[in-house]
Amino acid sequence: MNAESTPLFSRRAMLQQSSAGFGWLAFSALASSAAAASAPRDPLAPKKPHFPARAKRVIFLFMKGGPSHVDTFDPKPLLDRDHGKPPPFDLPRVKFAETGNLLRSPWKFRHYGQSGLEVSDLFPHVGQCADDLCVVRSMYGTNPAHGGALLKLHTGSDVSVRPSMGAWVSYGLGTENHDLPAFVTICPTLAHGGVNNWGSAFLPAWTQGTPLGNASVPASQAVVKHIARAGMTAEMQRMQLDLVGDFNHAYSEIAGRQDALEARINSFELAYRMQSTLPELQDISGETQATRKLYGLDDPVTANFGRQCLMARRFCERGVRFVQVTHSDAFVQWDQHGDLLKGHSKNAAEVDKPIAGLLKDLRSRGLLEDTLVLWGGEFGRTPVAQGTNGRDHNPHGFTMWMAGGGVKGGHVHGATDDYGYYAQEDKVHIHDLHATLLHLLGLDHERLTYRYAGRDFRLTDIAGHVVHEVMA
Amino acid sequence: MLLVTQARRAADGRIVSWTYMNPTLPATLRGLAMSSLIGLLGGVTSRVGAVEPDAAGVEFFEKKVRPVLIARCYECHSVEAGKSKGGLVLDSREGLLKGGDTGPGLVAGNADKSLIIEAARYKNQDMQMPPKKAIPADELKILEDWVAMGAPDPRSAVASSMPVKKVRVIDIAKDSKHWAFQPVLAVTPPAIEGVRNPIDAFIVSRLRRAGLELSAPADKRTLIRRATFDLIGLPPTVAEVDAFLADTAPDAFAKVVERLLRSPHYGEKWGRHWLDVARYADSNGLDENIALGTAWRFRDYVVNSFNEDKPFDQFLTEQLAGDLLPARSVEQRHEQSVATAFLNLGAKVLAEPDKDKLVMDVVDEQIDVMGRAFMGMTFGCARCHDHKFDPIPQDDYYALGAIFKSTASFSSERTGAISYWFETPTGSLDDFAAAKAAELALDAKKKAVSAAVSAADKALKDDARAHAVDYLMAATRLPLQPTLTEARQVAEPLGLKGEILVNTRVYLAANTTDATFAPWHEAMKAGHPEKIAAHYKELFALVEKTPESVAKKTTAKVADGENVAEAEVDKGSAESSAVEAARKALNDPRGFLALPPEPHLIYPKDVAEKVHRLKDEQDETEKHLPDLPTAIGVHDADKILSDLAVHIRGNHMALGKLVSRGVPQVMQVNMRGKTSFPKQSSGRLELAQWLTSADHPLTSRVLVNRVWAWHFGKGIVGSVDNFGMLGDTPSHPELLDWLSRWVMENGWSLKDLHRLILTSAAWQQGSAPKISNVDPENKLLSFFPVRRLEAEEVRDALLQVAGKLDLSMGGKTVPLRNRQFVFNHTSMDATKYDSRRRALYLPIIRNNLYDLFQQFDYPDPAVSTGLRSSTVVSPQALLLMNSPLSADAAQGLAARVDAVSKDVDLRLRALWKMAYARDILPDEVGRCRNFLVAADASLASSVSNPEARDARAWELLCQAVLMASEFIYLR
Repeated sequence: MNAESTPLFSRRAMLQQSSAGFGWLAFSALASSAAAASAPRDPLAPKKPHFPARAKRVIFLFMKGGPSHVDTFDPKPLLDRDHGKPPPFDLPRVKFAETGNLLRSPWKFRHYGQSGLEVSDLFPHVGQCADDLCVVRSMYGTNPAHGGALLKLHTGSDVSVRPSMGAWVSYGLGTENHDLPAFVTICPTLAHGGVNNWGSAFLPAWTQGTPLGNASVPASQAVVKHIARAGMTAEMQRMQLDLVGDFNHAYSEIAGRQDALEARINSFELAYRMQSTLPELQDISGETQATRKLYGLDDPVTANFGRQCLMARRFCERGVRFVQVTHSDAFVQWDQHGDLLKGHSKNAAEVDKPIAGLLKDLRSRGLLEDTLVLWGGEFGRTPVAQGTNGRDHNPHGFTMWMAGGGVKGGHVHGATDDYGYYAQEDKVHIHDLHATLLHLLGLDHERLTYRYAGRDFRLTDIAGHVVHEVMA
Repeated sequence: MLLVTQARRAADGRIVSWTYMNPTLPATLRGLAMSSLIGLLGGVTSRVGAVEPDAAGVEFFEKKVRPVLIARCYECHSVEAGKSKGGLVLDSREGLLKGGDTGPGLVAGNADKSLIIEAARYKNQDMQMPPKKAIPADELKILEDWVAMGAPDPRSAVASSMPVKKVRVIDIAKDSKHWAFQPVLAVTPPAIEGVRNPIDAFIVSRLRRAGLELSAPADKRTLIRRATFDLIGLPPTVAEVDAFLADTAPDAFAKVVERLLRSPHYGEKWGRHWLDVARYADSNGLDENIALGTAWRFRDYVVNSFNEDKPFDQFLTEQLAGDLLPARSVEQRHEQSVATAFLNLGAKVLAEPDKDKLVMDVVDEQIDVMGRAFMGMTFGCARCHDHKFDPIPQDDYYALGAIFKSTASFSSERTGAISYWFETPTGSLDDFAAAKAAELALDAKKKAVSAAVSAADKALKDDARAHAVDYLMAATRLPLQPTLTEARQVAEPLGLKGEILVNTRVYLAANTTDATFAPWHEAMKAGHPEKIAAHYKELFALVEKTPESVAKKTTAKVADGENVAEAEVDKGSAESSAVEAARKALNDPRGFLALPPEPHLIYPKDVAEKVHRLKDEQDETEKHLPDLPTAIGVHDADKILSDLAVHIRGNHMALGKLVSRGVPQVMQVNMRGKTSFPKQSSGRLELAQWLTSADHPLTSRVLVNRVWAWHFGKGIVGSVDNFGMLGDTPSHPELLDWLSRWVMENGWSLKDLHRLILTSAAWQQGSAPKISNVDPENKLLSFFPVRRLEAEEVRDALLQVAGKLDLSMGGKTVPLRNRQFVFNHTSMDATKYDSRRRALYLPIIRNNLYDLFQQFDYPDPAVSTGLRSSTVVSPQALLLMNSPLSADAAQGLAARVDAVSKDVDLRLRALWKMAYARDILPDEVGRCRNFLVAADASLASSVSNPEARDARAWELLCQAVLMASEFIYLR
């Protein structure tokens, strides 16, 4: 482009022409000048899926540390019967720690809903939503350590840095709200993979998750970094940005009209808009008392996670594609190598009501139809005891559940063995989960590829089978 | 979180004919593992025939066996389905007998030795087929019987139509014709009138063919700003600009270039380019993020090497094999050892329980970074199979693998499940002794913390115990699973702790039959909770009254049964055992009075503060404790492998044929010498010598192309890290070859290469874009490409113009002890980025990069990166608008401007020179004056003091100047 080729530059006109998103204008001024040569296009604009989608967005409720499946959604009567006996099966070749004899679950299971789905007394509120749950009891992964397992679950790889599933979804579908990121992660953990669990790796930078706070920040204080500046009035900032705008237009005339420079002018306007959009979105004062109660905001035990869940709904309502909500304290929250009873009681008490609240709220607002809710940790726990009253990591068989977004409600898919150590029936690998999740979003996991360093990469690498049986 | 050393078992001996499906396969394989029988059945030609089927056999097969195979196997292993996972098809006799990747599918007559039977039996956790679910017992029986009877199979061969995926056969000879594998040509620059610099000869000649010309030279102010950022990564000072403007000699600019190349900050800027390639970081990242606390020695080594203009061939050799080079002094030996950090800086899954796999993962990373950094090739693809696009057979990968597997990257030490990388000693025994002595100071701090924690916990426990009856009474008022709020409401008025009471209630609910607590439940059931107090008061009083030793003695006596009347024994026994049970309950740290998981949350305020203070002191002491005088690096392994087995599908448990140490064949085609490897050492030195030999087709090309890209923003070969078949073709192939030869013939000097480039008209031309349909991407360089400053340049320029940049060089800067956790299972990252030293010295924390770096396209520090991207995203704007760094810089710049004069125009003039290295234009003066007036009005309501208001307005103005594109972009 050339200064002579276009009439006097008008900022307002430019802003009106381009609908730019939170992280847009991510075209490279250096590498992809071919793309830049044509009109700049908003890469975040919603894209058509490969085939009709069952779900438009995802909420991933991540329970960090590895909740025990045999104490939550996978009842094992034989474990009760043979409590204290040595396991009548071989343990895996690679184990995380030494374990002992079979350990019964301290919790009773009850049948819930019309489906009669069994849920333990750890999750009485979630139990009330049993008819919405599609419980996959035959999940399995491979990595028995937190770091590897987190990376595997979030990115499909525990060997190299790869794009996270939220980044792949953003890349595949774009976003429906231009003032917000496509992928938001609320209070994520910085340990065990940290940023890589919501990073974009080699995908374009705009696909990366935008973190709100982190696991050591209370949900009420979780904000996007540098979203505001103390002591700066909106009027003052507007005046300053107008000055910057004038400088930038003048510079464009000197340096020659270049897309990157024009994109930059726009990026300040977006930043300015975001400064009001995001706080408004996070301000829950407009929610009714009933809604707050539903999410447990009135109880200090549930208030923190409840607020995270409520924010997730608010983000979804406004078109964010992928929202992750992490339940993790300053430790490895669900990692009960000892004191299972106490630890899991505390953890479940914090999330049970908020999760049920989220499901009920999504349903009542008609959002559950096309929102896929996914619940689970990086692995399950062993049915054998570690120490006297704990359980070790178990990636060989565990439970995750889905709800809404085109999956069967009140449904159980797959099974572990009689004691819950290994996935046995209709096994679902992490790659299969990813393939299924993408499928529900209308994306073919084998076609959602990105060429990098000489080959095409996928979220599912060279594996993954869509689990059609879970679909409604 | 417990980190326990897990049991691990190495593969005992090589398993050649078949393999386990290992649960910790590399990611690329795991998927396969779960979806098919891959890696299970392998490519050895059938040795085990099956009997010629008789009629009965055929009938058995047709009636029983075929239906099972169709129902359970054909989906993934048949011609009809078009799938041959793991290279295995089961719908022909030949397919079954030939097997898949690792061996025949069955041994006729021996079910126990047949892989399809083993898989179907589902006993081996690592090898189970079909993948989703075992077949029913009766079907398994059919298969077993069939194999036992000799596997009669009437099916005909369909080998010709096997659905084996079209396998690309690598033709080394043919693929070696690819331009990048061809010898570097000797080229003469085209003769063009008036063009002296050979670079310009090539560039102008190519431009003219397209009907284009170079742009007019950039003005002097633009040039000095461009050159200063380019060579030292900083803006020019006002004095430097003035001096250059005043120097009218023809060699004025050459003098500037010399000054910059001699500046020690040159190494900081250009060393940083190399650190991108070397994926430098100060923490491991990936699973266990612990500090690479000695990596800084490598960073300083790189900076020094660039400043010394160390010949690149030597620089390369030191990084691959510095530990194997002769040294004239101890210092040189240390320096060379530090260089090998290059091979060991990669991100590792340190807690990987399968340590054999971990070693191969690291070997893989080393091959990958070596290939990318020096040859622009992606060898990693060949770990599992022949490279899909490039002529790199899997054998070549394992030939290199033998070199790196003969290299040790890990230390023998480890903590729990976490393995440690190798550290080379770089200090004297005295240094080690001093570091060890310092650790004693830390131990004292640690002891102080644990003493304070134990005392605080004990106080809580004692208090709880003193109120044991109150807790039991309070528990009667709570539901089965109380919330913390409910518990607090009951506990607090009674002077009890809600956190403990929650547990008391839950514990009671889970211990209904326990003798000590049965009375509690009975009283509750009977509806007389008030009885509880009386019962337990008496019981616990008895506990306190009976000294433990007496109780024990009584019990012992009872056990002896000596001289004690039977009745008394009974009575004494029952009573003392009840008392003892109660004592146990009171003392049980996990019992009904257990403290919450995080007791420090309920410490009294003063105690909590004391504990936190002691912990902070401990962290501080640990942070500042000297590391052992060591450096991350590699050394030759005890066992030198002259060959390595190909890992079938990359699986370290599935070993195939052996390949000897060697170099990739395709580059060798056009090279003269042959590399041989000594028995006693890993072969890294020989690999380095091969890479730096004059007829290597890639090393010099990749190098000059990178340098070119770092000067011009794009390479002659656009894909700077990929010179393979899918890489870009060079825009100026002759120039590339001419430069490659020139740099080698010139002793691999990078500074000479900079001189040559910076004195070219191509580099000195103006940057106004030209409309061109011929060359829309400006590949031919008809104008100089405008570029955004890199992350470090943005940060350093902000502090530099603010007068706040600390230019001291080198040394350890990451505030963590070697191997200390960046954040251990908490998400509290204490890393600070408020240092005012150059950005080069800020901690590079993998998994949690400094946000300014993240937003301004700092590359992923786990991956070798030859050229950064340059994106425009709104968070960059937020950072410049709202971050403390931006405010701090603006304040500093305003103070400098304020010191110049009180006169507004003079101040503005100075501001423009400091920030933009140019004179302010009259329009701009007017605009700024308007802003200052408006800002003053806007601030009037909040800032009453006129001077403070003026200062604030200038800060806002200065910040605007720094946010503007002219500051962030280079013309």
